[in-house]
Amino acid sequence: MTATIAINNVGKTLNKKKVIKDLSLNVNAGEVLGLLGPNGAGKTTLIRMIVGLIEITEGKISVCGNDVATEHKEALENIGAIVENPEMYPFFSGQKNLEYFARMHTNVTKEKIAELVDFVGLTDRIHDKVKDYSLGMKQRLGIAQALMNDPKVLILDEPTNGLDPAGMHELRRHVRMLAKEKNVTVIVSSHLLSEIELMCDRIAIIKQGELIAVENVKEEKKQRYHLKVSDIDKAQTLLEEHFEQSSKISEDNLIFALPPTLHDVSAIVKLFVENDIAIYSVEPKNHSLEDRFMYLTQDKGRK
Amino acid sequence: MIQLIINEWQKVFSRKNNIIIMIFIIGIAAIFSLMPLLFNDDQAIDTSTYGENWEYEVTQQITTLENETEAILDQGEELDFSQSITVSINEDEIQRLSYHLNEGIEPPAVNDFYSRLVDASSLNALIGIFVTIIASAMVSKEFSMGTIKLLLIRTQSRTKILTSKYITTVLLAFFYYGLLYLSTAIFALVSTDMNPTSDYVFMTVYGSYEHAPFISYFLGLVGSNLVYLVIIATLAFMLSTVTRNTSLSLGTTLGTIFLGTGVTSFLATKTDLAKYLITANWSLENYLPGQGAFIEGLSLPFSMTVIIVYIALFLGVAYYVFNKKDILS
Ligand SMILES: Nc1ncnc2c1ncn2[C@@H]1O[C@H](COP(=O)(O)OP(=O)(O)O)[C@@H](O)[C@H]1O
Ligand SMILES: [Mg+2]
Repeated sequence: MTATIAINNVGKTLNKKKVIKDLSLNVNAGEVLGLLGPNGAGKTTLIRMIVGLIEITEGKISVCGNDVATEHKEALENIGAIVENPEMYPFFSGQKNLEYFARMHTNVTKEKIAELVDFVGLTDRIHDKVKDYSLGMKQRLGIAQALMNDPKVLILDEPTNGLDPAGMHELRRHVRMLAKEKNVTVIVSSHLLSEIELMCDRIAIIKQGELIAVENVKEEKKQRYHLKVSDIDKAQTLLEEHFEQSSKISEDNLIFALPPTLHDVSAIVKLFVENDIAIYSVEPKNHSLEDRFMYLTQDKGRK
Repeated sequence: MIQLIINEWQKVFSRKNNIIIMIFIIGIAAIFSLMPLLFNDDQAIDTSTYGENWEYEVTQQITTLENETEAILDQGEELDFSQSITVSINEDEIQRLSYHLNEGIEPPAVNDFYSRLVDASSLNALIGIFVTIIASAMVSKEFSMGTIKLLLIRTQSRTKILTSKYITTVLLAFFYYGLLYLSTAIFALVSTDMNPTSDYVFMTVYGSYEHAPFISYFLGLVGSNLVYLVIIATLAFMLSTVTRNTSLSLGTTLGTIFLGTGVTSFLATKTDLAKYLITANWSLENYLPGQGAFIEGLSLPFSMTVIIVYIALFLGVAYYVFNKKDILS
């Protein structure tokens, strides 16, 4: 099966500057992909190419099997998006904005609009002019607008901007729900890992237009432990035999990650003690992805 | 496409600009039609019309005017300013009335409906300015608001989006023009007297009189006014699309409106090529009966060809750029 979004060796030159360099990435149906990178990394530029707002200088992007450049209409049929900021017509109310965009699609009923408004929690304020909306409310309206055509692919550029913690939590719930229940493929971009970590299956880290890592969030959500023990090789073998738990050895540490519910670290400690392995320290490691992101994206020259 | 045009139309009508423009148009039409009454001008409130025996009345009128002129001239002294004015007005009036008499067309009242409608076309340049205000924001405003992205990430092609915007711009130009004429006509109905015949008598650029059926004369005038508005709208629209800058499009188009004719007349004295400028050809009312060509050698078919070429060129550039250029706003 081909990926829902297939980005193949894509490059973009703006004003003679290479803003995206040879980027390849596949996103599968029902998957939530985080696009993580500092400001100016090229997240928005990549998104603009996916939705056909700018020309793709090199390479090819296809959405649901349609080439974005040559089968623009077919590709766009499957996409709902917010690009950069959720700008709407400030002189229209939220409702009028949605009716406006509904007219650009076929078969978007009044009921559908009401349903979307309810979904994003804007029912109380939907008849107010958008110029009186907060950024958070505009984000919500933007999401309603993006979901209008029941897209198979939802692209949200920095959707957490302007959201309060409650709004963030709600966005997370919405995104997970759309991905799991409706099999929507989602791309969310952010410059802050913490804001999208919990809603993503995978996170692609972009720096200066280059894809530098794709991390699996599920893996990283496991609790990682660093153990210092007397007989590290024996400990590793025991771990493999008794718990089928893989591990690696780095700088005298025995490192392994445990899924939260599977087995308790205390059982492992007990096993080692029973086998005469001395344990000097057991260190749980948190925010491994955060560390990795910082490490990957920081300017090496600056440090 | 209809849906897209409805969208564009709604946007224009929810902008303050448009409301102010509409109020302005109605206000100007009112002032234009009712001002003479407010000034209590003798002529303005002169509602005398002719009766059954209009030929006799006109002959009488001519005799009275001739006598008045003769009396002034017979004084033998130098004429003062007001006297010479009276003499020349009388001469014109005698000429006009004689023309009516000779052609067998009953003259209208002093304030006649036809003339009011024809005169209102002098306000067309004003409509041109209003059209410029709207047209020069038509595309660029979407860029400055950032909403262009939301229009173009849907399934409609860029060509279709631009077409809906262009059609809306032209419709709006017609709408403003229609509003000007509708309000002028309504005010004129109360402030003028309806003409007794369907013929419209007018003075030519050579000072003589001619007549034409009013309807055909008026339609010719309306047609040339609308062509002018479409040219202005297309120019401003093209600039708005290409520069993505509202002020620049507005300034350039207004500059063309205000300076175009003067600069073109000047250039025409230097080079024959001036006749290929759009500004030399955009006033088709020059080809109405009794008018003279703007530059020697221009003709209606020539001007129409030039206009079509320019409009095609403007639109070609607008569509090309809109389809081609990256959307980075
Ligand atoms: N209109 C533009 N013209 C030229 N370069 C641009 C333009 N917009 C963005 N860029 C450049 O593209 C790069 C990526 O920008 P962007 O995609 O907006 O980053 P992000 O969304 O990750 O913050 C930046 O280095 C920026 O300087
Ligand atoms: Mg960005």
